[in-house]
Amino acid sequence: MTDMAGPGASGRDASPLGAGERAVAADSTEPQTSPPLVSLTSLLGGDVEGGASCAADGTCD
Amino acid sequence: MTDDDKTSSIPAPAEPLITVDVWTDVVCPWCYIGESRLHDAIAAEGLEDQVHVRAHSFELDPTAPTDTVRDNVAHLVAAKGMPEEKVREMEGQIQAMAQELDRAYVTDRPMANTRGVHRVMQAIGEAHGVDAATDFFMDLQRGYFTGSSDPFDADAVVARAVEAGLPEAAARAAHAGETHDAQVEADVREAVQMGARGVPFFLFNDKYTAPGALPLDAFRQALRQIIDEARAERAHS
Repeated sequence: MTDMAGPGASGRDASPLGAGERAVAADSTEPQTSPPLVSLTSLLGGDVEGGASCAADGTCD
Repeated sequence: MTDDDKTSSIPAPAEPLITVDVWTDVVCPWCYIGESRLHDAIAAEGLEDQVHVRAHSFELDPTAPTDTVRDNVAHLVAAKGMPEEKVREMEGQIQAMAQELDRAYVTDRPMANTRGVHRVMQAIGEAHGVDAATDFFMDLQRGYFTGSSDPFDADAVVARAVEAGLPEAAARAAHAGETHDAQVEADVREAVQMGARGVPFFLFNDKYTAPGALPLDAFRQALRQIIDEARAERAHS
């Protein structure tokens, strides 16, 4: 139920809400300007169950 | 010593050690639960002055109708083909979780497209900063799930935006789609690029990603570990 992809991207204006260019995933070939993103559950030792969420099609866990 | 000298000798308040960016939608049940848990975790750890939460746009359902408001159960039954009993069961489970957090949660709510609300949030952010935008959005979300406000009442949304300092004309223009749509899209694109496939999606200190509403204890543990890391980094910078 949470496997739906998010909406497609369009437009290039930056959001004023602090969104900017962040690091892409560690396996990207693009040059990184900041440390790669890390899963929070791996920081917590991997024992933590992932959180429930609502997918981009409107359905929720 | 002049007044200017006195002012310049006062150290500026330190920036919060933890920034939590959350991609969210005003009608997202798990966002309401997740953000409540995060809020409670911050309070439980005594970190209210050390954590800065910033809201970003992500549409729960971009295909939701813009010209019709249905109740949420009817919406999921009609638009997603979900059996009504399953929808009501899901709503009941989330309501129980909200009650565990001492939060009100109404299971019968209006549902429609939220893009207009996101554009207004972006407009507030541009004019008055991310905190004003976050407060506006979270208040609206809280009101939606407690039954005290309707995010599909355009006049009410505009009035709330005016309270946040946005001129009424600017609020109406954003809500109607004349402005700030690209900024909504930029937020969504950023989340998708980080791997988000739904909401809530949390990003701690531009580094740690957490999709979904983690358990309260997980948020507490994460805050403890991240603030230790941040304090160590600040001490060495």
